[in-house]
Amino acid sequence: MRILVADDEGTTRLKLEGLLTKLGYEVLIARDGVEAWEILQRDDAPTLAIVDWIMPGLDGVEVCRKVREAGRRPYIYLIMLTIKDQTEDVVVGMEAGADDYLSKPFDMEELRVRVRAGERILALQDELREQATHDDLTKVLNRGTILQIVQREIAHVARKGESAAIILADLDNFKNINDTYGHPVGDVVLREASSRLGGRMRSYDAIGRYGGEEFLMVLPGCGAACAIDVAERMRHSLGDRPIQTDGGSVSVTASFGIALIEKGQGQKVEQLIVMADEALYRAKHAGRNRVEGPPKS
Amino acid sequence: MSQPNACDLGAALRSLEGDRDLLLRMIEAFLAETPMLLEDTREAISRRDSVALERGAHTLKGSVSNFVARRAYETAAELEEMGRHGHLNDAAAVHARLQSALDEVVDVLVGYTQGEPL
Repeated sequence: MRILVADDEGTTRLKLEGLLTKLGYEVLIARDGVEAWEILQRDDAPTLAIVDWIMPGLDGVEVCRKVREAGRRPYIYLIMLTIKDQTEDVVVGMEAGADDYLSKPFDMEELRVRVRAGERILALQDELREQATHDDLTKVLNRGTILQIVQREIAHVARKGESAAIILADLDNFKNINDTYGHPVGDVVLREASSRLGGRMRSYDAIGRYGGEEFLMVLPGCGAACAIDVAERMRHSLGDRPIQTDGGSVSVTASFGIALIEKGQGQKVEQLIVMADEALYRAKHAGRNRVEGPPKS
Repeated sequence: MSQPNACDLGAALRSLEGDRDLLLRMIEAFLAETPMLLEDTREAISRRDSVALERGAHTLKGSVSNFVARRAYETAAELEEMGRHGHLNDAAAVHARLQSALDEVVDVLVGYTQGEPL
């Protein structure tokens, strides 16, 4: 884990750097508040920072305030560096958004426990974010999050002009699987199916669980041919070999409907879903285990 | 003649879990930047710039705290307090005391770097 140490005073900076390095952390150094704020705005900013109270340019309190105002994610855990017996500073610092404080002179043990506490909070934050955005069962994105990604992609296409595609996939006759093998096996099938579908995507594509056995995929920069190609690969990944479960080997296929996000159409998320759903319906109607693209215009 | 009570390097070393090398590097940084910090506070007093005095004294306080240098720490705290309240009339005298307290700290630190026992 990387930690930012911001202090204008060299002795303490060296002490923090030395001790944190011994504890196994990678340390970034800022010599004043302006430099600290610059580093904390980067995309790959460290998520834990130890910031001195008084620095030239920008004070630690102002750095804390700016970080909180920017409201950036992932969360940055801020430890304010103060001097013993200045409790009023601690209050002001914590109100400005610091999570904790460390008083000079500190020792190795105190530093270790403070940083550990920060790591615990950051891990909890990660866990909460994961829970809020992912589907419990399949671990792919949940409905709300994948729809947000569709929305973002519409805006991106409107701005950049590249096309993009969404694919709506529905496992064929899934109700029969639940009825025949029971719900625990049905859950295993859903998990494995989502993992196979996700495994056929590019790193910048997104997959979410749209409904019970429906999955929604977003493919940036993909036109009709590209989307059909991806959907066909997904279709094979499911249908070509059965899923092994405790209840036996289960053959699963899926039907796929594609809709294109196009510039200048003023499309809404709901319209796109309807379009993909219509294509999906055609695939089901034509015998399932099929891919249907957007209607030819 | 070094004043062994000027700071407690044994305690400083314990706070580093006995890392002598780290202590030596910290001493080096301290010896390099302290004259400058001290000069900044002296100038702040002659300019009657209480904000700069408060900040400079605060930084010195943080710096000497790493070596458990009590007298220097308390004197720097006194100066910081004067800066905070804008009472600079006796600041030059306190600054002179800080200077001598720091001289003693520097003596002990230099002694340590030259192999004097703690």
